[in-house]
Amino acid sequence: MTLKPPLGFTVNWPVMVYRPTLCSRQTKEEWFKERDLKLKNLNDGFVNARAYMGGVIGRNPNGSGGVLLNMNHAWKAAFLLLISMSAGAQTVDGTSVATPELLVARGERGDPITVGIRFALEPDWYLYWKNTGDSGLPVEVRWELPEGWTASPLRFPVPQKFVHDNLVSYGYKKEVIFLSTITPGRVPLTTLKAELDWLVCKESCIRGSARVALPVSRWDKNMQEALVRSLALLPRPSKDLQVVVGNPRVQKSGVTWEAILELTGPDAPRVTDFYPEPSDRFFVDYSSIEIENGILRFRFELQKTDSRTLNVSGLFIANSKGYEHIFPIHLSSL
Amino acid sequence: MLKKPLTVIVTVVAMAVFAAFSGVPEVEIGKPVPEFSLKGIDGKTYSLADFKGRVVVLEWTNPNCPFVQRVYEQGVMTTVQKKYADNVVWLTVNSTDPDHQDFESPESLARTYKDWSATFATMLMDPEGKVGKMFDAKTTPHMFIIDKDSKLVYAGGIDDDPRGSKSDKMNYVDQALSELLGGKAVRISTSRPYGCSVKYSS
Repeated sequence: MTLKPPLGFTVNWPVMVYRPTLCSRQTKEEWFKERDLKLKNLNDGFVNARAYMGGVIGRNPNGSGGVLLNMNHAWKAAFLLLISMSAGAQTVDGTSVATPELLVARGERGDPITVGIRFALEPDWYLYWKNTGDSGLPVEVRWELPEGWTASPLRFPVPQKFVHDNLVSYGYKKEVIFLSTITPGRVPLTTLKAELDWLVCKESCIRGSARVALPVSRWDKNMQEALVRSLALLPRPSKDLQVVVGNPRVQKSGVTWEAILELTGPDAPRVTDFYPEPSDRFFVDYSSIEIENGILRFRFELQKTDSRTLNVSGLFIANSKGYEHIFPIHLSSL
Repeated sequence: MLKKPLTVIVTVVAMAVFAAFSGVPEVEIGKPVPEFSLKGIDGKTYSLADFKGRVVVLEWTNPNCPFVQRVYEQGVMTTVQKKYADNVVWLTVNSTDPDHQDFESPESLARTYKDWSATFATMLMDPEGKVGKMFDAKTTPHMFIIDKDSKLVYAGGIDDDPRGSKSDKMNYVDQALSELLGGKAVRISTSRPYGCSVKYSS
């Protein structure tokens, strides 16, 4: 074994539990072989580092080794740090298909801070909107903030709609930035930290999790620009789209309801789709949503059968921008 | 005056035509489930008619879906399977496309679910997705309960906890089965299913 300075040694901790064929076409044997190879590389790295240190101590002309012994501790600390850092990165099947990072816009001291969680996604992989559609889960964040600091719920950009075999998903490919507003408390913040959980899908789905951190000292101007760009991708308020939703008509067949709404106003002809927000009172048959000749139709079922009025909120899609809208649907007994 | 009734008639006719031609599922809550038969992983062919007079649970599944892995690893599914083992016929259904990377052989499926201590009568293989589409099964897991008279009485999620993190979760299937076997009406007959999409062949 050649003795290399361990500086170039990065720890890539392999996934230890076998999850059959999650995102690769590897056989079980190949998967175990790859994991064992990674573990061996890891072990070799440590053996090399120890041997290297031994070699350095052996060459110490003073023979005392006092200072070098401290260095040994320093190496250990560095390894522990490397391990703790890499344990956070998503290493499912050894490939990372969704890589998160934090972005922060620096403001005046004490002002609310706009924070972004940016995911870079491998081609064709996607993350979900807050209403995932027929399947999936949205990204979940747990901020680790000093006492007195608070974070707003995540704000999701306008998603894309993916339809596969009549099953609808709302989500994002390539890159997405989720936003949150953090209100500072009195205690100073040195590093912004968060724990993230997500589900990322292509043909199959993988769960990922990571702990991300960004020291205040590394907040910079470029991040601010990315955040400004991502603010423009958020849904716009309903007043920006001149559409009037007519009194909804409903009809019922078995347990399935259908809502029929007329859209009028100058911008109505531009509206091509409606992405409903999630609700715990009813669930929409996403494949049934259609807008034709200014009429929006969709089918839904009730989660709570005692509902009399539903407040349906969601996004009207016009020229790939989304506009928030909310309208009531009265369920009369037919 | 005539305009409104005409609109209603046109809408009703349009809906009927739509329903007849657009593959809207034939399976509906409160209505008898049409007969179907599929091959199980044990090689035998099973028909719904074989279980007439018994309560049947259908569980759409795919062992490579993280949601399915979670409900088995947390025992959410197996607890209900065990609780009603003597009183219901529990069938899992696998509508995964044989060309999809999630597809597994009957032998491998049997092994995986055995490792999870699953207890079901058999797993039905639906490679063309015919039965899945008939039920409009959207996710894995997606649960359906058929009563003794072959009527569909529940369609939806196993519970109301997609993340598997709720402490006060509501298991819809457990509740519906206990109501059904206790001679009561099923109070919650639909819920939003959650999970991975069913990997249908197109």
